[in-house]
Amino acid sequence: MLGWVCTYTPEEIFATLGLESCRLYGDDRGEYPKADLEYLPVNFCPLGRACLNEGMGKGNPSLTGVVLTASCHALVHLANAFRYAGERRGKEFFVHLLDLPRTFDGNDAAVRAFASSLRALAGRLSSFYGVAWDEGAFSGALRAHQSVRRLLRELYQLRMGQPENFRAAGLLEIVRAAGRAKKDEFHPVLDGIVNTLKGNENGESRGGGSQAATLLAVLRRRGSPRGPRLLVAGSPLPFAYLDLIEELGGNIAGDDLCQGYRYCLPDVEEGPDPFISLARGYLERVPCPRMLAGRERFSHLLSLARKTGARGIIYHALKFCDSSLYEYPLFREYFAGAGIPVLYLETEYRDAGLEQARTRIQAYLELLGEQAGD
Amino acid sequence: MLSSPISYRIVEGALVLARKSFPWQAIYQMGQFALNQTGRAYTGKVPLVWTSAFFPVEIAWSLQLCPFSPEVAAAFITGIGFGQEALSMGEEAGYSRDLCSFHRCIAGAARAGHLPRPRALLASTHLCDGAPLLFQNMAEIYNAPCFTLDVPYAADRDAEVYVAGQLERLWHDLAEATGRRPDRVALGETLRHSNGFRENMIRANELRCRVPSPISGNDMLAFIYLFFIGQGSREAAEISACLAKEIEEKIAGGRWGGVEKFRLLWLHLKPYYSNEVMSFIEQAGGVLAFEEFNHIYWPPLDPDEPFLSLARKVLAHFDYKPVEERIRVIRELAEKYRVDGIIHFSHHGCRQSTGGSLILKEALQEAGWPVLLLDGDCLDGRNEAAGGMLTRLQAFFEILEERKEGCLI
Ligand code: SF4
Ligand code: SF4
Repeated sequence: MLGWVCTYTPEEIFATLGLESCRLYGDDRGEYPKADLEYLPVNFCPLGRACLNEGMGKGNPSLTGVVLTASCHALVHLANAFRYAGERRGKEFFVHLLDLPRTFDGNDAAVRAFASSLRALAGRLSSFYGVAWDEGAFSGALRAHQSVRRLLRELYQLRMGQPENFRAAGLLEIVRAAGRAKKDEFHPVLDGIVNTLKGNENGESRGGGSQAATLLAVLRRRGSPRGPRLLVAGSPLPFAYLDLIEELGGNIAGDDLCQGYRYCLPDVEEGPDPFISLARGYLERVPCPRMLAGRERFSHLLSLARKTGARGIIYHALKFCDSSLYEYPLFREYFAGAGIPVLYLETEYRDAGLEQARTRIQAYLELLGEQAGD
Repeated sequence: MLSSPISYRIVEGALVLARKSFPWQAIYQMGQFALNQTGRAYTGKVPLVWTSAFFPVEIAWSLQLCPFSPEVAAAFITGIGFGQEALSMGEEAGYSRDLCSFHRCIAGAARAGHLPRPRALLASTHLCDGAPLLFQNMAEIYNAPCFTLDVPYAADRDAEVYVAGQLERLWHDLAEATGRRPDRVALGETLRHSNGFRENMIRANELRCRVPSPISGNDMLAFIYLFFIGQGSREAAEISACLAKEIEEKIAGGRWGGVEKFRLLWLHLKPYYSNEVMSFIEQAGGVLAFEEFNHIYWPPLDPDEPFLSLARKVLAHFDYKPVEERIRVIRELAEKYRVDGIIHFSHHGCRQSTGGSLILKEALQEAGWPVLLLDGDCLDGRNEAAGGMLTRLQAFFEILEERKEGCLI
């Protein structure tokens, strides 16, 4: 089983090689377990620390390696920590740091560079695991991933129309499940969920088996749906914060999160060279904050706000996440200019601190209400 | 005041008068170079480009542009006592206190209008995640184009070609944006100056193997200016030549020495807001025998293949590789400079350097070197990590002392 973290990691490569993979998220509840601190300092991305713990902790003996993108120094050092910890434990552990261009304006050079990184990854995986690349398997893997992503986007569309009926953390939990599952097995589950939501009012399950029923249950909204519509952006945030926003009346109509909508976006068209196809598909999706595409990103989000009727944006920055922390000043200015107030939340990828956030979120929702003359 | 040529003439006059008080003429010359550059930056006669710390600045010199390092400016602003003000302004602008204080300071100073307006900004993505992100924001403030050099982590042939291709494109685009004519002869000349700087620094570094140390590490950290701004300029080649010659003469004259209680290897930069840490080390008999930043890690540049060789230089950085490579280089330096201990100055906002420090410490300790991770901040004295630095240094020196005593027994 291979672990991965960043949504620029083409899972299609693992599936083509017949390798199981799962996205690491780390635990976002409670205090830091001690093992987090072994090889990564305290002033370091808490998501990275949580993933090290998940990957190297006792709970995951099946993990035989990780593929991390060189997206930021957090992941670069996470790769170092995995390699080092693996060696210390005398465990043969596969660690690969995947290069990912930082800038992309549609130019072929970046596509070629990323494709060459992907080819190198496939080569290393093949020799480490003794598996072979198979073009036929690639086409199948591509189709399976595309159809799962399409269904996830459909789910997002459904939520956009009636956010009041959806629990945002539930939707992210479905995205999380997709990132951990074999896509051909997950497809019928997702299909069942989408059909159920489209097909009947009372939420009776229509296919997808017990996993669909469980995931449908987590989608059910608990909080009061009276407040304004919102978007959530920034770094991955603990689910408890999303529940709190909804409990206070906010209706989350869309997100720009790598743990959420951005995972569902890559649209990969099959072409003569699978690595070029993957590279282009992944690079062409809406960029994330580390891609140095400030205005392009913001305009996507602005049109999403207009489309969903969102009146505000909650921007979450993980402590020590440079990609979000540097983006924020520009982000705030841009959306202030567009008449959309932004609430800034900072967390340590823990649900601790929820109570302090409660008052700020409450005040923010009231402000949005006043602005709309509610 | 900053944009008036008279200001620079006054300061230059003061510098000339104080010439004799400089411990090294190379430092005096560097002061003059820095002053001259700052004058050029603020008076706006030559198109100014901001360059991030690790961007191959030869690109700017070859187009006869005036490079300006905002990181160096931030250290200078802090050194003259305006750091806190700039940091606070950066925070007001939305820059979290968890970010690198160099960048918060730059953001604040830019907001207050204290920094010279760039015609273009040049950032590279390797080693510092923050710089390209900050430069993107600054490009908005100044309404100037930002050129980003995307540096892959794997330093293979594909990566060389990718970086070289970008450099070549960037060189032409930058020329166009600043109204300069791209001239391959001038580029070749720039690379020769850069090679001169490299060779002279290697010479100076070799001389520094002498025990006792012929030059203080604190003085050597001042040359960071040449690393960030100077490479490719005639001045940097001349100043580094002067430095190597002065050290040589000092050694030849037998005029150096002093008690060295502990020889230390210093990793990352130092605090600029106060001299307390450096003075404490000195008073305790500690000597910075060498600093990670002064290590020359790249091969000579080839003026016939300018972009490819600049790409190789950029990709050669030992800190932009698996942490084992940094460990290997630090071990080599520790042996070469016969140090008793290693201090990693863990600058609060620097993910690159601090992110791998725990692994680095464990590996180096296993190899036999005492290591201190000194948590602090280069510019922000308010940072709580900065408190207790002297106590930790004191405790570290006690360990070094005990080890020495142990050796004698
Ligand atoms: S949350 Fe930020 S720092 Fe952490 S891995 Fe993602 S981009 Fe890097
Ligand atoms: S100290 Fe680190 S984070 Fe700060 S500018 Fe330098 S490399 Fe970047």
